[in-house]
Amino acid sequence: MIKKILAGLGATAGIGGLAVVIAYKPHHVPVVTMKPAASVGPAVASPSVSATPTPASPTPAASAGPQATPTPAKQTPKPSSAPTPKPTAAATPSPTPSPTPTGQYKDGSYSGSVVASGYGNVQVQAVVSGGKITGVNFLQMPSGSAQTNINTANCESKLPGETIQAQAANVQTVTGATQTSDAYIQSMTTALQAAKS
Amino acid sequence: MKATRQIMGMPITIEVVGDGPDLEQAMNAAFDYLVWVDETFSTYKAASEISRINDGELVEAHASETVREVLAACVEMRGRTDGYFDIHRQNGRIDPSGYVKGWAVRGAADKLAEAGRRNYFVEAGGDLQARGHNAEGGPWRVGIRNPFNKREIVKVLGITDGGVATSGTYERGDHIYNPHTGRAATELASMTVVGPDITVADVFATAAFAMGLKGAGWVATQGLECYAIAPDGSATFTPGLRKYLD
Repeated sequence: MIKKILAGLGATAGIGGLAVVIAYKPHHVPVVTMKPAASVGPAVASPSVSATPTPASPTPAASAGPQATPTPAKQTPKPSSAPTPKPTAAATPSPTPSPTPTGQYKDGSYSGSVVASGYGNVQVQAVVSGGKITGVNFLQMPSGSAQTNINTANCESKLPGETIQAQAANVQTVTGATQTSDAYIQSMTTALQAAKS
Repeated sequence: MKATRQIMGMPITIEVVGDGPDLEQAMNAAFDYLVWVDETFSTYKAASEISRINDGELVEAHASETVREVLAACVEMRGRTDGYFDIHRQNGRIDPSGYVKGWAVRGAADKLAEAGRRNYFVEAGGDLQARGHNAEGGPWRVGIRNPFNKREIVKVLGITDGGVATSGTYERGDHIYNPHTGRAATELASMTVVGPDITVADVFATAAFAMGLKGAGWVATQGLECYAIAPDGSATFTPGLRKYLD
């Protein structure tokens, strides 16, 4: 069920989109690049699953969201930091694609569906301002204690950082939380569908 | 040789380079040890010493030596983590499983060492102790799971002698609380800590995750390495982590 929804978004595009969506660092556009997935397990959620087709505008990923850059299966998504798409031979020398100053979401608060995880219900709410996701509220958490507003604004650190990228799965073992955020992703997905223009 | 069993409510995998009946015996001894730990420390088993302490049937001072040692270690860890690691629950009971898991993994690895093994890892629910080399002669390759997609890994660590532990929001139903606020910790999606000993790495992963965004910097001050992933997909890591990377 969850996998199907994820697959509908195109798994990595969906994840990357979600990551963008949740990001709201104040001073720069969050950059999330996800290479085509190297799956650890059976490739249930592979990036090649058809994403909802969008008009074929070559807009560099100025927009955020699950449906940003639904690239065809094998093509490596370009880092969204690339300001202009590489001109192809056939491309008409038209003006640069409009950078879509307003995001793809309508302003407001959108509650996702209540999704049962193995340990309780999860429900999130996406807050959209200026067309962009500016906040995520947890309306329901498995613990029962409502937790509001993830705030990444004060994420200042002298430590090095990077954006996570899927890696080749040539490993003997894996470290990670044993219960994943499937329910969270699913609730957020429905919230964003509601927020779409 | 590699085997996985369900113990302590989670899959536990042991891989040892090599083969043969002696090795099988050594692995069985390690698994048996984990079963014993579960029976002694599980908060889900009414007959465990921890349950009996919680039910008032056993005074802590009269508990077995091992239990007393573990509880004393938990007190020490509480101090080392500024109170972020705390086995005392809001309902007044104690739950040392946050310490026992890593400690048990370390103990199982020690059983393999006692049996003369040098190249192995023990992994319990995503936390592990690795020693020596893998079957190809290289460091054990440990993937860090993508907290947003459990089928992906986002980093590969090469471990020849160390413990790796990860805490995340939904690993057990958001069970990690910030003791200073009493609220669930959600500033990070996951926190992976690497250190010489899984027992310490596990505790520090739990504490650093509860600290949230400050956690990575704090881990650095403690001489351990970490890789923290925020809900926006950005990662922060300690400079020393690079020695584990390709």
